[in-house]
Amino acid sequence: MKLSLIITLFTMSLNLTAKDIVFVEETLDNGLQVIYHIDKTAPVVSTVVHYKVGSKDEDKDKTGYAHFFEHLMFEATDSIPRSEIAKYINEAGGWLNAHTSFDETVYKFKVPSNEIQLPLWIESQRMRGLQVEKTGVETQRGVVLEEKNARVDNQPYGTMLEKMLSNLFIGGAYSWATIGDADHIRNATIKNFKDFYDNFYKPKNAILVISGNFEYQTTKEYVAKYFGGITNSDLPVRNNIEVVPFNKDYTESIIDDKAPLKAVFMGYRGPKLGSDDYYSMNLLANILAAGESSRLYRKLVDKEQIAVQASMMPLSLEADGGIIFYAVASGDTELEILKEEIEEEIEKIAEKGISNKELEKTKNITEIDLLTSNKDVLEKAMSLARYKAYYDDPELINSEIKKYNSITTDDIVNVAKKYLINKNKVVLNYLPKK
Amino acid sequence: MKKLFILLIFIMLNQLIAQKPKPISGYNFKFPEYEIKSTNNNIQLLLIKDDKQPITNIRLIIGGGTSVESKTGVADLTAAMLTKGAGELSALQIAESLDGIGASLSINAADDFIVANLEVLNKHLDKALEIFELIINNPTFDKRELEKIKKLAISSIIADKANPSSLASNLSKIVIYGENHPYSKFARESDIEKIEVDDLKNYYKKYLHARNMSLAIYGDYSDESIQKIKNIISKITDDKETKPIIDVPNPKPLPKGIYFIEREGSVQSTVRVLFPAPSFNDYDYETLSFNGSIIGASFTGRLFRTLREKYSFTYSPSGGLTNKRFSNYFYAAADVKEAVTDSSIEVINEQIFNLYKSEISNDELESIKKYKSGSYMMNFENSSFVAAMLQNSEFKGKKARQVESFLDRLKNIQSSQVSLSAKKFLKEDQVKIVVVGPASIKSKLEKFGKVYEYDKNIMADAGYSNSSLDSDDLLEKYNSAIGGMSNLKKIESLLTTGKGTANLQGREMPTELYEYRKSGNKLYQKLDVAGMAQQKWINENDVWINAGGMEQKMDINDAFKLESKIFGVSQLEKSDYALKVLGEKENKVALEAVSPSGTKTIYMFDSSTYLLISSSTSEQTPQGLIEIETKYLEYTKTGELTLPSKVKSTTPMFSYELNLEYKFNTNEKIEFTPSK
Repeated sequence: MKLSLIITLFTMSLNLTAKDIVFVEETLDNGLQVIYHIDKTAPVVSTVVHYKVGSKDEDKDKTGYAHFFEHLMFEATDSIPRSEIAKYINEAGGWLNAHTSFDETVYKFKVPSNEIQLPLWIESQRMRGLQVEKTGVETQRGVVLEEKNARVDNQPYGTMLEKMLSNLFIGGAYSWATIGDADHIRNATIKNFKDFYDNFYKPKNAILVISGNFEYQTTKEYVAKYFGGITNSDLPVRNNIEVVPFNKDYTESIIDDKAPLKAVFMGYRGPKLGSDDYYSMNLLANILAAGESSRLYRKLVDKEQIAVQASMMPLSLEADGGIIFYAVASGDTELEILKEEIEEEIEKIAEKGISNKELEKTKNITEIDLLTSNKDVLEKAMSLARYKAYYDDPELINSEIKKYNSITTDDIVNVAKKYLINKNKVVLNYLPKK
Repeated sequence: MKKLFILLIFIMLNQLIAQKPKPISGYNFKFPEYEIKSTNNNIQLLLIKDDKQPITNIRLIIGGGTSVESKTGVADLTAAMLTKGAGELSALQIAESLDGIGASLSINAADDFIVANLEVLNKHLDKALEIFELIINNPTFDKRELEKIKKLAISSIIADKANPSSLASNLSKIVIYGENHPYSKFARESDIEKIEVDDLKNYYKKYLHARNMSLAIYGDYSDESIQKIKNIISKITDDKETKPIIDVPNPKPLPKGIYFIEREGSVQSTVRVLFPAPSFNDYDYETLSFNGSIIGASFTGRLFRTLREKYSFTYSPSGGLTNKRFSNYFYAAADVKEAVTDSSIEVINEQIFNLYKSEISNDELESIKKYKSGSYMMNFENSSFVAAMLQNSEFKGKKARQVESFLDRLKNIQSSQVSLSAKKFLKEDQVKIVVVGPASIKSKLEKFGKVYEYDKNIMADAGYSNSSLDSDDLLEKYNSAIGGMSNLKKIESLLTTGKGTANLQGREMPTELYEYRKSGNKLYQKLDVAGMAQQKWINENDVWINAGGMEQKMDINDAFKLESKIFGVSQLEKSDYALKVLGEKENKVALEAVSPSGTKTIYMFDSSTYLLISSSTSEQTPQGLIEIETKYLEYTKTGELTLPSKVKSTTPMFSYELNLEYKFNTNEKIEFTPSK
């Protein structure tokens, strides 16, 4: 009774301090979902087009395609010559970028407010009018292979994610990394790419968010003008995404000639995005491994000094989930010891629970993280698109904190037991080449 | 008919939509509002109100940074230790207290200052300020915590050695600023091991001075919270007498060349093309920065359009200008395919050198202006960006009003100015290239100039295998090789004459040398190149040089002293030079000799005959530090001695090759002072 009262008061105080983000939604006849959010702080406007396509939507022998489009979408369209998209935006004093993950490909622009039509026009042109042709494809094929070199093959522990995913999600749609297999990219034909584009790049598979300093009515007219004429309103044909059971306790040791220090990576399966357990698991992960007051840092780095780094990487996925804990060894510490220490800290939570103070701490950290990750117009646009895409509920931008605040100490213990205790896992030991 | 009309409308609409839209109205930019004040104890105070979220931010700058530290690594460790114990609170209690309220506090050292950033929800501000006050006014610098931090710092250094970007970045600093310059510092493991608690306390005491600090408060603050923050910093000393003086000397860039670190297993080469650049406040800084944008502007810079979008050599090209207070460097950078490393450098060089070979077009000028003004203005929705920009600029001596008027200056930049600054700073004779990559690319780099090898500790002259010889052994073997000490000692005077050719920028000219040395450190030398003579006289501690009829008395230095000896290299072990055998490479043994004033010369000896094969050193000239290499191409026996009969000396400006003859103990009628 006392605990619930504290939580209620805490939640009330949150509602008093946080300032709600107001938005309007509409759906065009062709299925394009649009969200408008006005923020007149500065004469800046941001657009985000969130396509619901990521690496999980690829065929397992044609990986890297979703990410390839993150590059190709800046090539020519029926109305825009090669290399001009970036030039138009930069010349308007604007900024552009894009990212791809397992579940999404997101295109982002930020421009001075008077240029609001420019990103809308570009997005409408490339939504259905992209030229998937030889020059663009060959150029980007070279660039993407260099990106893989830079991010994966030339980095210490660079192969970790590929190895982790291929074991943790074995046989499933999350078993390969977004960057894809270099051979799949090398061997992809123009037709392969064109088929992928035609299937996934269409209004019914996209969310457009406009955020910043603009006039609502005029902008609504621009949206109708540029996107209203796009007629394709089919849904994409998708692979059936099955959650493949994971039934092994797998350990592999890798000699890495680029790794400076020994490191252990321990991957577990976890709850999928937005599920009840998802919020508890995020808080548990923070308690264990986020920041210098987290349990793993305190024990492994600060107290015992057997590691120089101890942290975690969440795998927040639409249809599945996971978490990777990792520690980088100090000196000659055996990786087996680090692994046992991590397991021991997890067990402690499952057996002894956590204090209210510790729970409150992680909720406070989450609250400020949520606030500061929705500070500028682009961040807000991305969040609104994400909440719409995964939960069909953009209002979560204001209310998601309530979900975290409703978590109890028992919830934390339960997810620890459910996902991390006596569970199958993937352990990757990285050893520097002597 | 109706159908035709609808079709016509549809076609017209499509054509309309196919056209690039125009901006809808003027862009009324207004610089964000801010206030600059001063606290009672003279700390500059910047205030920016931003009430979008119930958060208050504090940004505190302490001047000096790594550039003023007495031992390398002290500023970094001081910054790290501020949160590792303060007042009665332990490191863990501080971390738990701040995390407990979701506040974040980061303190880091940069080249010019230490900067502390606190971000906290307003409802927890009081608690956060309690801790902040202790950290600023009463850090404990606990010895046990320092040992932990040192351990983490050392592992971070080890990790950096595996990271090609960190290797390239550290080597770039040395190449641009020279060894031992305040801006070329980066800690090695041995530096961290030497740091003690007193070093941190002394640094903190000296630089935490009100007139060496600046404070920014931004976010949703109240008058009451400003007063509380002011109270915290009111105790900081404002004693004029102890105000630290911060100055950084001029850089001493290393010679033009390729600076290479071998990274085993690299599938890419990390390339940096570098040029020394002026201070943040220099008149030329903004126009040179404009050149940086032409090269490196995100998706429209020349490197992106060529290196990535035309050739697919790289994923991530970049370029620009650093922004340190006292001196900077211009850079173009890319991680490129290993097999096209040399082609990539050619593309980068071509793009940079084109900046001064021809003026940029009006289209490109306007395009870059729009890019720069847009990037500048759009960041202003973010109060943390505005605070950092104004605070950093003020701290580096550029007033906030100058920051505000940036757009006016940008608008007025002409292509001729851009080209002039490129001519001044991006000259081919100043380019330095840093490459981190696999051994296989090394030979392809030689076409760009001399390749200097460094190891992953950023120590020069990498690639040697251990030698069993020490410097005494090596010089003894050399002395034996040229005739033995007993024969060398018999020589009281040495006359060297030579004939050959000099090559000055492709022109070959007849050259003659007359050189007479006498015991007691006396030398007369005359080098005649196509009738133009340079003479040199050294008489113990007096030196004169006459070049083309202009005579000048010089100060004696270590190089002149060594040059005036009859067999200088033979006598190195008796000199004040610090000697070290670096090791063996390609059938040569390398000896490093560092003069008392710090000039380094590398002597390469044949590992079977022990004759001297080459020597290379750097000399300060009006063109900057230049590399002088002398190769001893042939040896001939003269009397009892074996001496070089053919030599070639090379500098970036000219070279000469001479056939030499020797006479011993002649009595030349030479005065070792110029005739009056």
